[in-house]
Amino acid sequence: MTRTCLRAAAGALACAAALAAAAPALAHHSTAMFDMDHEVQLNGTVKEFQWTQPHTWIVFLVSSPTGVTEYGVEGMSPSYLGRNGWSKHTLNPGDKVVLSIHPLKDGRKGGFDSSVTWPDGHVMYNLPHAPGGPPPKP
Amino acid sequence: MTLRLKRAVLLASAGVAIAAGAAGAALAAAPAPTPSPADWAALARLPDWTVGVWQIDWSSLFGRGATGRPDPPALTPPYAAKLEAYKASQKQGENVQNANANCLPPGVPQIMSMPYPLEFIYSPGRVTIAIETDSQVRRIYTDGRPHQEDPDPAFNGDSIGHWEGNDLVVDTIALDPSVDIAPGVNHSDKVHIIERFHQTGPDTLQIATTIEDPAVLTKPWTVTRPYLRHRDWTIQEYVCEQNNHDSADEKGRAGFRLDEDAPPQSAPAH
Repeated sequence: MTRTCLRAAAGALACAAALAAAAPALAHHSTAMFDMDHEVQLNGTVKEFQWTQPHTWIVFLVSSPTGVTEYGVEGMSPSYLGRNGWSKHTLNPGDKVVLSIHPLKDGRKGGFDSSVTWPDGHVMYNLPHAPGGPPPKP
Repeated sequence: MTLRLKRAVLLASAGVAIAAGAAGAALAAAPAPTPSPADWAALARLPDWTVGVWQIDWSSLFGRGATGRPDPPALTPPYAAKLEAYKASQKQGENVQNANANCLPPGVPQIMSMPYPLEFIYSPGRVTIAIETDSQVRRIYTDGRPHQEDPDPAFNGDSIGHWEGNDLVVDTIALDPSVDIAPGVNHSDKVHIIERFHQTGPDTLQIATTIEDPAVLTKPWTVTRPYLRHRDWTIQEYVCEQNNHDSADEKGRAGFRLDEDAPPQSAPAH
C-alpha cells in the first residue's frame, strides 16, 4: 500500500511539514537516496533493532507466498529518539508491526522509517512530524 | 594575580628560555599556570550556561525561527560561480550528500547548527564546548593568549575568546581546507570567524556568527541563531562510525549500504 503527500489538501500540508522537518533533522546526511514523497507500509516481523549511532537500524522480515524478504530500515538517532519517547526496548526481535518507510529510490529493499504501528493500533513516529517540535506523543 | 597576568609572566619566562636556545616544538604552547582557588571561584561569576544542555531552536532550522531567515552570503564572482555549479550539479544527483555522511565532522561554523545539543564546560582560562554531533569538542582559550603563530588547519579551527560582560566572544581561524562555511561555499586561508554568544532569557541563547573571508565574501556575513536550554537533558555518545550505512562519493552522490552489500569480512588474526 502506498500513499502520497498529495492525496488530500490537509494531508499535503501535514506531509510538507514533516518533510521540511525531516531533511535537516538527519544530522549527518541528506535524504537524497530516499523517496521522501511516498511512504510504503511493510507488514512483517522485527529481526533486529540496532540502537546505534548515527542511526538506528531495523532488520525487518516481510513474508510473501514466494518467500521472506529482508529489509534494512534506517531510523533517527538514539539521541533524538531517546528524547522523544523511544528506547532500545521499543522494538524487539519477533515483534510483528507495520513499518511505514520512505523507500530507497533505487528499488533495493530498504528505506527510512517514518513510523511504526503495532497490532493494537498504537503508533510511534520516528521522523519528526511537526517542524520545531517533538512528534506527537505515542 | 589573575590567570591572565600569571600567564603573561610565564609567557615572558618562556620567551627567555626560547631565546636561550631551548627552541620549543612547533605545537608547544606556553606553559600553563596552575589556577588558584580564586581562579576557580571566579568561574561562579560567569553566566550559568554550564547548567543543562543547549540545542539550536529547531524552528530556525526548519521554519522561520526566532531570528528570521538568515541573509545569504554575498559571494565574490569566483565563489558565486562555484555555488551556481554546485546547485546545477544537484539536478544530476551530485553534491546531494556531503562528507559528514562519511563521518567527517562538518567543522566550524556548521558544527554549531547541527540539530543535536551542545554543552558548555568552564575551567580557568578556557571554555570548552562539547557537541553531541560527531562527539566534537571545541577548546576556546580565554586566558589571553593570542592565536597560534602558524596553526595547523583543523575542522574546528584555532579558537581564542574573551568575556565582554556576560557575552562570550570567540575568534576562530585556520579551518581545514575541506570545511565549508555554508553548503557549497568553501573558504580561503584568510577565513576569520567571530561568534558572539549572548543570553537572551533564562533558557535562551543567541549566537551571532560573523564570517570574514576576502577571497570568498564581498562583505562580512553574519548569521544569528537561537538556542534553547534543556535542563533535563544530557549529552549522549555519538560515534558516527558505529553503524553508518550512508556515504557520499567524490562527486557528492548519495550511497546507502544494506547488510547484503557489506564487503566480506576477513577472519580476525589470532
